[in-house]
Amino acid sequence: MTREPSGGGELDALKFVGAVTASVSHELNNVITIIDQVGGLLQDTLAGARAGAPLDMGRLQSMQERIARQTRRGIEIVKNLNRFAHGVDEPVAQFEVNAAVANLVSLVQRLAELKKVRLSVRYAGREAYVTSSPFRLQQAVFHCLERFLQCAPPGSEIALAIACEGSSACVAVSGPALSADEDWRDRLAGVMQVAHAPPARISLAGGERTEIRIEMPARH
Amino acid sequence: MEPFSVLLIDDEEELVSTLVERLEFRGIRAAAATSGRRAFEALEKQEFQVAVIDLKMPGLSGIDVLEVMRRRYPDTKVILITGHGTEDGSSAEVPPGAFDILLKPFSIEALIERIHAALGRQGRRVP
Repeated sequence: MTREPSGGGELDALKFVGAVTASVSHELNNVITIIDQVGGLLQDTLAGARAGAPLDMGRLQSMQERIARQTRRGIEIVKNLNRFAHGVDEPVAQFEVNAAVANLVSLVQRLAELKKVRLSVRYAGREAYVTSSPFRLQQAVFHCLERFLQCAPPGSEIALAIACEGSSACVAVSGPALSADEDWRDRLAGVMQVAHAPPARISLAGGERTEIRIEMPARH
Repeated sequence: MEPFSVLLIDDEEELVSTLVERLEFRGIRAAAATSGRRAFEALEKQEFQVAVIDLKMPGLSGIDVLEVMRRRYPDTKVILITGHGTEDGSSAEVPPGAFDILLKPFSIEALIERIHAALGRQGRRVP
């Protein structure tokens, strides 16, 4: 039996988790498919050798390298997914903003690649610790990325910038000009309303490019 | 060698290059393209009887490539491949113009069986 989520906020969070896991499972499926096929090619090569064909060491080495490369890729994907999953361990925790954004980018980069949109990230030159929910921050950033991706033409750029400003940390997401209606803004603000955490400030600036800023009190 | 050629189109370069080697090991002429644009360049140079196309690719998607192929290369049979399954793990619906759709990961035998079936050749059905 399917249970309908109780509220819009919960549904948005579920959609976010769904989008991340769909993207990651697609990547992992590709990794597994490649390892499976290279394993099959190795089997073909050994069958050929048993039938008298000479073993080409260069080809064997290339197969081994392909398997090693894809295994490393798979390990990295699983590590990032695991980090993401632990973002909901505590409703509020102290976490490092650059690491949380890097984790999200690693998981959703392919969504931008599929649209041929460049996703650039500029990290702060130092660590910035905030007390909030890493999951909610990642969801808010994704909410912005998703909106930009809907209207960003191929070849355009969406930029993420993390900065330490005074006693706060700021994540700015900018991209081609977009209209953010009130409902969308309210949902974004709702994502960053984390109980028992210092309030985050969200602002939006228009022009040739739109910039959305999420600012949180931080300890540098 | 078999009297037909297969073009494999997927942005995962290591997948298509490995599949080319495995098909050629079985006497099937094959070539690889890592984007829709490169696939059209290959199709301009050579005739392919079957194209195996990944659904999700950057830029031109598998469906975009399929639509162009239906107009420009109507004799080339198209088999789609995808890493996106349905909720129950069964095959997704085959879009108009495509012969079949294969879910990743798939065996080389299943791919060859679909290639033969697309060409109207008898073959053992591999799940």
